[in-house]
Amino acid sequence: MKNLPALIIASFCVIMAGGCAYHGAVYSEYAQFALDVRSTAESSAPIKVDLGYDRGVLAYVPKLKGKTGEACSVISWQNIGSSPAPSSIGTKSVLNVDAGFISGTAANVASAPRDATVVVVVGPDAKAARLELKTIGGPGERIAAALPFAPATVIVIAPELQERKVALIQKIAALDPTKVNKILEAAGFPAVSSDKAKAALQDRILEARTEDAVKKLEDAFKTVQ
Amino acid sequence: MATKLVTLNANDSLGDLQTAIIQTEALGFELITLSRGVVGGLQSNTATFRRLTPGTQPGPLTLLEVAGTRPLPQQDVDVNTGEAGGKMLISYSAVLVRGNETNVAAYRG
Repeated sequence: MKNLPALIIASFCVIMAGGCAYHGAVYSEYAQFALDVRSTAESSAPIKVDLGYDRGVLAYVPKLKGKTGEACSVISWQNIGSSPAPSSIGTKSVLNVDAGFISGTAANVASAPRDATVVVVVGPDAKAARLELKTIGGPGERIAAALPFAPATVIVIAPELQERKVALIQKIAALDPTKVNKILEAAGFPAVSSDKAKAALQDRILEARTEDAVKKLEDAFKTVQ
Repeated sequence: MATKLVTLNANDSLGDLQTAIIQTEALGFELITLSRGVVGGLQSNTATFRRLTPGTQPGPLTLLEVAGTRPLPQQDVDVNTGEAGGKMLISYSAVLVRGNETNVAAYRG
């Protein structure tokens, strides 16, 4: 949508212009991303890749009633990512966006510190009764808990990266625990007891999702060869 | 440390869940159970794996969806039908597929 930024700005202006009568919260966000890859005439393979991403958000959050009341409680979240292959572009992780906005009483409760007692005293226009609650965990933990699903510890990774991980796994069987611990240390992980060394290295290989993580393990393996 | 618990992306398609499990098994693990669970208070897809000797790999794995709208006797038929061709059922449970609770049968072989 070519005119999305203009639309957001225009909407904002309309709200502001009409808006000496408006008493609430306005939130706007605009993001644009584009990638265009082309090969030269000398290239052996004709390559042309286009990728575009264009997104705008405009939130118009009214007050419950009148000029003095709280803005309505709104929680909005977006999580944009890429889990299928490729898990990385070059040596960089694929872009992930995790953003949200919270308004009104919900924002006050969300931002309260750990183990705090939050008392919501309603205005004269609201019908709800007084609300008192005690927070458990910090704001980040509570916001994360509001998200619907636990993050995945295992995701689909690019076939090329998977092959390299399998190659590392196949080397473990021939190693003694001392060498396995050296690999763990060379890769920046703590050494473990001999009986757990191979399992620990197996876990580290399983957890490696990016080019950087796999390369670090590959380099660590080279230190014992 | 004989078993390993992992969480899988609850917004993935069934095909991506299967790929993630197969890629994990290629690293010396064998799927034992797959079901929705709760981790840190959040809904999740939790899979348990038996740890194998690194370098060894279990047989092929297939995940199949069984429509939750079908009555139990028909689900029974569907699950048994999936065992054709030498496949063995190892897990039949609710799994989050694209964020929705879905009946998923996992077969080995």
